[in-house]
Amino acid sequence: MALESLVTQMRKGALEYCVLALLTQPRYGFEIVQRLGQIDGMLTSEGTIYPLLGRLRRDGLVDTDWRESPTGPPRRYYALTAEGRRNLRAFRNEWSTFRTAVDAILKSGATS
Amino acid sequence: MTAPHADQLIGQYVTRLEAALSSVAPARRSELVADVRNHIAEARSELAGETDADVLNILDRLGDPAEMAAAEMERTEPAAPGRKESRVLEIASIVLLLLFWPVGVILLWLSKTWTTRDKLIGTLVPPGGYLGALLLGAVLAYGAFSPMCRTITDSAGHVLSSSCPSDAAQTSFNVIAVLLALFYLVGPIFTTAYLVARLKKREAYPATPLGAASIIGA
Repeated sequence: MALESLVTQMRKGALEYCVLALLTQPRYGFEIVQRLGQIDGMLTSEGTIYPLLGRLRRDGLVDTDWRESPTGPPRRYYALTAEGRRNLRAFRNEWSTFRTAVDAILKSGATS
Repeated sequence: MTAPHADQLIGQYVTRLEAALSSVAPARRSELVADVRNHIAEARSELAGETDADVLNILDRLGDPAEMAAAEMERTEPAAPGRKESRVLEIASIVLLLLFWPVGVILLWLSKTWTTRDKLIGTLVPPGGYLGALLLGAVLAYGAFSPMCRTITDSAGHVLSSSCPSDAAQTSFNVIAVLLALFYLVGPIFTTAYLVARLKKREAYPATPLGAASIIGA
């Protein structure tokens, strides 16, 4: 059970930065959901993306603007701010250090 | 083609969502509901011939409204303690607005804590602070003590004409003077209290982004 909750926490924490990574180009909400949906297990309840997007905007990590849609109602587009870009860069570094460290230990444990 | 019970199914879902979000601020609640309605519209527009099952599937993937509400509450929690920002600039600004207004105003506009409305109130109530009060006081005193009547006499001392402001004009001048004096006395007290209150509010709910390290370090 502890493992299950750890995986939930890790996914939740990483999701925020995956969304930031998707927003290096402007995208609208449903498009973000579709992108994340292509990767199994990343987004369990699609609706929870909207509270997350709202918080990223409140924290100044993304900006929004409305654009016309060729098919239906106008779409709210999200894009990274300079601050969002900085946070994403910091996460990339931390993540690759963390992943390398854990991989190295898992591997050495298996061979010795 | 539209599913026979699409409106009914979506209506029920939105009602449940609104109920789940009842403790969220109304403006934010309607924004989230609009997000979800747009999401449903986008998903439906991708279907060729939709059935009730398709609509139910879209709503199912959106998830339990309670889960969305939980995500929204969790996202608005105050930031962890220990990340409190220094408030030296803001405190200096409030003090200097009272003691030396020009510098106080510059610090006020440099601060990122207050909103533009806060800054306008800080600048204009009253303009010039107590420094402005001194200047205004000097002008009013000049107006009150300078001769109000103009008398023109000829070389022999006979009065040719004399004009004094009417009593009404004199009274309204006095009323305006008293009101201005009150504004200048009470204004800075109000403004100081207001700016301090806004500062405290921002300290209770700061907009600090989650650091990258906190999910790995946690």
